[in-house]
Amino acid sequence: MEDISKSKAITRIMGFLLLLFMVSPLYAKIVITADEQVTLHVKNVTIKQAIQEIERASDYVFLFTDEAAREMSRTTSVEVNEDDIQAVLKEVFAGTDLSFTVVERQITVFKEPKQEAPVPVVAPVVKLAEQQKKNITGQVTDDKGEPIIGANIVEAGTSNAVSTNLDGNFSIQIEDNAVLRISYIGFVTQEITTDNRQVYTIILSEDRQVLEEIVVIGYGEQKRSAFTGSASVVSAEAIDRRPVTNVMSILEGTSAGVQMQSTSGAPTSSPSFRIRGASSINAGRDPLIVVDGVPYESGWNNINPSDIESVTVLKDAASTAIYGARGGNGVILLTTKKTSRDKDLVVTVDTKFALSNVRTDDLYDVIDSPGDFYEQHYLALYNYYQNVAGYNSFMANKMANDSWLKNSDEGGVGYLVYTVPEGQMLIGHNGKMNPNATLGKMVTGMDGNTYYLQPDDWVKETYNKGFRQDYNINIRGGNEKLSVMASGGYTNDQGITDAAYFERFTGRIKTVLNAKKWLRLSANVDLAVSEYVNNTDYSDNSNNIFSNANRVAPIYPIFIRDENKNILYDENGMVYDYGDGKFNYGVSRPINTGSNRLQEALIQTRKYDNMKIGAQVAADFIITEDLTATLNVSYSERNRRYISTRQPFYGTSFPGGQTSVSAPKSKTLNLQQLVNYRKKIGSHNIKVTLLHELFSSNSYSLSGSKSNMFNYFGNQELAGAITLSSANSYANNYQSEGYGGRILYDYKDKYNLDASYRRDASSRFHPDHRWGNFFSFGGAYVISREDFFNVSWIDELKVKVSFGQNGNDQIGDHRYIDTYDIENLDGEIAVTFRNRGNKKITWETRTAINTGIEFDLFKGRLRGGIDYYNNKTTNMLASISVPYSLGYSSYYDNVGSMRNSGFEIDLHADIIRTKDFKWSMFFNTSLNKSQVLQLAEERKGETLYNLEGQEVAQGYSSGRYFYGEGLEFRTWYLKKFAGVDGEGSAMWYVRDDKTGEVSTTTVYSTATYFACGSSQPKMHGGFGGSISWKSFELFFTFVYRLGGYGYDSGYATLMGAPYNGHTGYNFHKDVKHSWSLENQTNEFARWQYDDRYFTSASDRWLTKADYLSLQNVMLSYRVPSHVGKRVGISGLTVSAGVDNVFFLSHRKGFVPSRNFDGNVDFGYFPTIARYMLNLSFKF
Amino acid sequence: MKKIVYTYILPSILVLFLTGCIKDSIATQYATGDQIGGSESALESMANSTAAFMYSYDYFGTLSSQEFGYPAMMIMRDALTDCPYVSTNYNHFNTPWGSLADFSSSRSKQPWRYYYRMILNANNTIIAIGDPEEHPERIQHFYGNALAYRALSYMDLTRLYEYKKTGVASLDAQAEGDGIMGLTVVVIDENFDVTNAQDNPRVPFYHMYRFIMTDLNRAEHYLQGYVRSSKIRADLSVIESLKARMWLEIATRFQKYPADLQTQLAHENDEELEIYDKLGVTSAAECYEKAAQYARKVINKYTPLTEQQWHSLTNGFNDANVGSWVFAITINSIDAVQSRVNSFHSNCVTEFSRGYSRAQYHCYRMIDKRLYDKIDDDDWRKVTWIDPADAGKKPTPEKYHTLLGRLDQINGDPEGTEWALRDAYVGFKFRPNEGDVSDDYKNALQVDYPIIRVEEMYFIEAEAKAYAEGMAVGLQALTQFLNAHRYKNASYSATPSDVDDFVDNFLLVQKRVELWGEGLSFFDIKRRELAIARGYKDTNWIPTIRYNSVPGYVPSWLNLYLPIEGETSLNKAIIPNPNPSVYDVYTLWVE
Repeated sequence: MEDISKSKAITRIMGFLLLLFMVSPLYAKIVITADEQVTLHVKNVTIKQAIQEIERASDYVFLFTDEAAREMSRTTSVEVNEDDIQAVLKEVFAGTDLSFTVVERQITVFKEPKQEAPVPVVAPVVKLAEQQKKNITGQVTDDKGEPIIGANIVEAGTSNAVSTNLDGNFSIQIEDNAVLRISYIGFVTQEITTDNRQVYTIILSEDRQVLEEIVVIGYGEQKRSAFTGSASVVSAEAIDRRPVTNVMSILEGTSAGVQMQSTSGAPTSSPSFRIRGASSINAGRDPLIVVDGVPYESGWNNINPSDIESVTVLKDAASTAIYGARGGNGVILLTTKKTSRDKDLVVTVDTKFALSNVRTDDLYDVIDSPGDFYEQHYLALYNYYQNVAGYNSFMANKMANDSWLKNSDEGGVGYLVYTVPEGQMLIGHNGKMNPNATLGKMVTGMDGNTYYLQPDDWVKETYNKGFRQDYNINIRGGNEKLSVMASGGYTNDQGITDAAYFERFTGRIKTVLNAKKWLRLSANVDLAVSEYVNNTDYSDNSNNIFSNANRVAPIYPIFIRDENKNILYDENGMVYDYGDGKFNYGVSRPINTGSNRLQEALIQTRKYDNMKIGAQVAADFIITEDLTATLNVSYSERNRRYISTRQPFYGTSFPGGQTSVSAPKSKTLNLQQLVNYRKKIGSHNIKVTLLHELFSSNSYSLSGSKSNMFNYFGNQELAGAITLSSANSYANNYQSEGYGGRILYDYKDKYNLDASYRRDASSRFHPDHRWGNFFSFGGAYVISREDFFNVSWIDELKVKVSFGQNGNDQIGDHRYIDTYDIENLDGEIAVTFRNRGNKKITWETRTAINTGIEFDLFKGRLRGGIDYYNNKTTNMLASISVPYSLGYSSYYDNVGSMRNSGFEIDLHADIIRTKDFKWSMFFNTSLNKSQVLQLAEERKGETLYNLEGQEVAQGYSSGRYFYGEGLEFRTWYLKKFAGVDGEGSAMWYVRDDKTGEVSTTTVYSTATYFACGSSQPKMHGGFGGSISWKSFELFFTFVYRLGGYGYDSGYATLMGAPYNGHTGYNFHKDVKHSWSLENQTNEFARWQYDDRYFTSASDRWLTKADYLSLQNVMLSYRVPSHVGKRVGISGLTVSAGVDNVFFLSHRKGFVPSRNFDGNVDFGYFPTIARYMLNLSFKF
Repeated sequence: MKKIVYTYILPSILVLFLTGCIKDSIATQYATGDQIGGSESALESMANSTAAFMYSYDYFGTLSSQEFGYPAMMIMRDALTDCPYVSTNYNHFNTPWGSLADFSSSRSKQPWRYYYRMILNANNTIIAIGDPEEHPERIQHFYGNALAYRALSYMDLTRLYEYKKTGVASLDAQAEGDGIMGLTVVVIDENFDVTNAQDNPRVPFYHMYRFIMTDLNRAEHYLQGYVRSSKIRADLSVIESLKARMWLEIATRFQKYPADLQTQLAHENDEELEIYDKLGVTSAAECYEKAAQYARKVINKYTPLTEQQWHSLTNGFNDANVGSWVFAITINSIDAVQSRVNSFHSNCVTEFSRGYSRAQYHCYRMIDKRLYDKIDDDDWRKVTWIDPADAGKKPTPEKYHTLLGRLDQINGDPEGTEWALRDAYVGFKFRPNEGDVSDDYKNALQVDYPIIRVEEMYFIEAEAKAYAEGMAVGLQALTQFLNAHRYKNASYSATPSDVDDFVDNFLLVQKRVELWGEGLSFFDIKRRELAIARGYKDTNWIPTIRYNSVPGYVPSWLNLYLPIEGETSLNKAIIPNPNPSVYDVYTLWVE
């Protein structure tokens, strides 16, 4: 924890400096020479202003006691030429009763106690006192017990002062009964009266008043109180707690208004975000990601989460407008850890170990016993033979029992894994397993040998226990000229299947060089090298190892066993069953015939080699005290190499083996020129920023594939195979450019105004329509700083409002021009039509209004804010559908509008705050409504009705959603399930187009599509907290969603009765509740082979998408410093916990967080639950 | 210091500030309109688009398993008519074409989208050329080709989508009520204003016939004397073949429905149709005569396949260079082979060792048992399919011509298991390139596909003559053709009761056998309004899809359903056909 509090402190110092920097007066002259001789000329300025001058020009940091701070408005005049700081300060404080101490670069200003004896008497008293001095020692810690390094200890009324060392310890000679004043920036200064003790422990509490929180904003930072927009900030502390590969995973639940979608749980997966709802129907909805001020596109997995200081999500237009065009979907700012000037290098080591397991809540409740499965399959066939074929029950029983070894088109499952006595049936007339049947069966293979069939547990074999390790080291230190941060990290994640593996090395070095008085150079270089395996073929499909685990009926063997029931081995290890009938009378497994996904995951390569390098170099030119210019060049390159193979050994898919190699490469170049100017006139502060930015992104694809491999395991390169299948390469390029400016203004820190303008161009638009103009205005009023405001329990209260515009160009390249595919026609070139372009397309615009209050109450015990926003997207980049008869289906145009509006609440409370016990909680929620306002005329051809037969909206349907004017974004558009009729057939509602009457039908194809409710959450967010007692702390974070429906395709699929060509698939346990004469349920149709409509798309499978997820729970223990000290370390913290503990939804296996719009399937990498042990310390 | 700042740094920053740097993004993955420009070579590339689109792949990016050009259209039509599949698991044409289920799903949009994309490519070429008279002959040939492909597309579309009576009262009543009888499809040509696409009705047959015939007439004009480099390009004989097809279609209609002929004539002078050539006929007989004339023109230039060519293990039905092929898709390079599994051979050719039709997936394509049963033992085509008596045997029976033995050799299986794994009625017709059954699919799939063969012209001629000159003439023509080219002992003879019996039960049986797997039976079945029976004793159709249509009418599933999403919902002037609703309007046949 130590590194955290320290880095926090450093951020604050820097922020404080910046703040002072921003408000410095113009009419002062200050020069500080290399040997620290100060020249200061000011006339009739306040003491505060004089100090600010010194701070701005030097590295000195001033701290004030409360009493001293009140004297700051007194005026002073100083004329000192080349003298030391002490002399200058004496001038500054001349005529006041302020005194000061200088320790290193920290200057503490305090007021001389009035009761002090008159000056003439002082000298002898002091002299006398010196003789009576005694030595005391002590330690200064924060309220968590972390030692505070560099805290200032002053004997009140004297210049006798020391500061604490690395362990927070100090020793000082004082008079008897002296009063010690202990101060440290960011903490409430404390006075203690010494007694006859020798050793003191002083606990400083954080000072929320003095330390203004700093918000990272576009192209700079700003005081939180002056910030007019809306931002969520996640600190390094929260990031460090969880073992994530991807720093973005942290945002879920911690930031109001940020909705996250994690399609896959793989260690390499990246979540997607929506900030304040979906802002567009057709254009992209992804926010802009900015790392250290520069747009980032090089893969989130290439950023080591432990390098990140903070993640800030800018949600309103006032703060994102400075990013102009590309900020329309919100901006996520990542800031890496800062450099330090601390001469004592601090090395932080952080390690995390985790045991990984599949989160069982992600798996459906499927039938897990072979007997149950056979009975269920039998029942489907039995009902079919009775109801459809008209057989009597005896014949139906016989036909159903005869089908086991038949192929799928005849209703068979191919495999019978029970031994049934001669002449008996597997399933009796009572529909139950023959009690004489025994599990396991000897069969004859196609080679004439005998094999033993027994079912294996596909779920168990699919998921393993994995081990994850993270090691991170961070070194910071420097001097006045050069400050450095260097870090290294190593992550190794085995995942939870043979299909996933991740290993990564990262390194980063940041330096800031104060080269000249007028020049500061900084560099930020990072490297990530990783190797990962993602062997989930047919990903996002119903056919990969994950859906396999749920879908393969529990009757099929995974392994081949000989007649002695022992698993066979070959040169590749255990022999797997490929379901091709080789070991089963020649009858194949109907599901994944000729394939065994489990062995394929083991022996087929799906490997990425990845290297990302980034270099950012910035030069700050300090032209005058008020005018600076910055040139910032950032280059990032990512190279990957991917090899995938198809095994030649089993099945007959690729008899000679196949290897495909691809080498995608991408690079981005960002160039920024910034000019910053600030001015203070009286209490008016102005800061102006001008900028020009150019962003260029290139991606290259190169791939080839060959079959007929010489040595499958030994050589998986293209050169190792002889038959060329394909070879291809191409490049893409995207560019954007912008000019902009911003003015930040405040009056007495109470009235804050800002305005920005940006003009942007994107290469995605035709040169004639390329540029867009984007404005913003904002204001914040810190009412609590008014003199008249006198509410004791309100520490701070701010009212804010902002308005702004952004753009969106996320529609892919070359949408403004017709495109053609280049094809080979008998050796001649042919260009066939591909896409219709529209020259006129230009920026989609989002106009956003944000207003809210922020508060800090009860001495910081309750903090938070409430925001209301209303974002309207106009000139929507809509894909305009045209009749297919034109030969294409759509083109892009700027038509239509939609709105996202809602509230966000963010609360942090310290419920109990005592010396040893602290309990704090956070809670955030966002209520958003996404509404389509206007559509293109062409897209209003369909009418949506509700069940009452009333018209709901005009618009168009696409897939399972309807987009209609006035309608919520992505309203479910499905046939409506009407229950089950007297024969067990599913029914749906049908609306007569002519009369408008609604009735029911059992004919699925004639059923009508109706409005079926919302796919969007009504409310989502997170809550959590920490409880600490002495050195123990317990953290936990929950994420929740309420409202809206998800389409549970996985459940629908598992509820389906078998039909021809579709057998051997497992069933959900709920099929046991199917309609029957004895159980006339209205919820489930009858269970009958070839009844395939019940599970067809309808609102029957819409499920409430509410969920509650315990994301993380963690107990940490900070080892007392004296223990660590013996081995030369400090801040040793041990913690243990669980990540992704549970997920509660309306059905096990149904994980609505996989899709923003509730379209949830089950062929995904499930979430990984991790049992962690973390260890961190400093030395 | 200040000097440096003011002399160098400030000006440089200012310069950087003012330099606009944004550039256009250059497309490399595909070509853009401005890259194509107006050069002659660009025009040539554009003109090649129609032929190339015959075997394009994944052009819509929505259903790659059915997006491989014209061959996919052929499979789809056969799955609806004469070609049952052994298994559905890997049959990517099962839904909706084989299963007859869910015609409103997005899968059923494929033909509509494919043909109109082809038409767009043709229109783009026609527009780019402008007035062909201003161009040299070479360009005029391009023009003729674009027209030929456009005519082919509209002919297919019309025959796929025009609603013909099904004998199912509810569907027919709906069609009548909606006023779609006699309506074909929408016309998009080079003069079409795209802003009208939302209000573009299906044109009636009399409009469509003249539109198509005009394209063919113009193509005929501009292709005079054109010697093509490959059979994927249309020359005069292609136009003649298309005309023979078209005239037979028109003739059948006017013969069956004389009122339609009157309608055609009544609109002869419609102002709207003035831009088109007139059909210039006043009777069905004249149409038959024209069909026969054009068929004969083609017959005179080509020769039917010999037994050896038909059964060739290396070149069988994969080589356009044979004397019988008039028009073809020709694939002659490795990069024109797009997908191993999403290809005609994968879905239909059981000897192709890498597709869905191999033993592992048994997605075998068969001939309908009842059609097979009508093949005479003297007909050397019969061994194209596995006789039930020979199915499952080891070793491979001698009389068959098959590459399966080579596959056994590769598999190291001396017993001949591959044959034994094939079901009865599975057909061998289309061979992998050079008989390549190795895993080098890029070689195996460099094959040609027949679009028009001269044999079809013999059938057209015989049928046309039967109606124009009497059944005996037609029967003689058919007998002559079969005995000369298909029967071993010249033993073919038939005794039909009347001309309709002759055409529907004799001629068309032979034609369906001849053209099996080439995607053409659909048009004859629908044209002649023949029923399809999938359910009968010992049928080889999968049990759950055994539906029998109403005799004397067109099966509802041959009146393709227009795409709702994508056409009828956007084009307000269009009225869709009734949903074929096979499961709901016919009863499943159960043994």
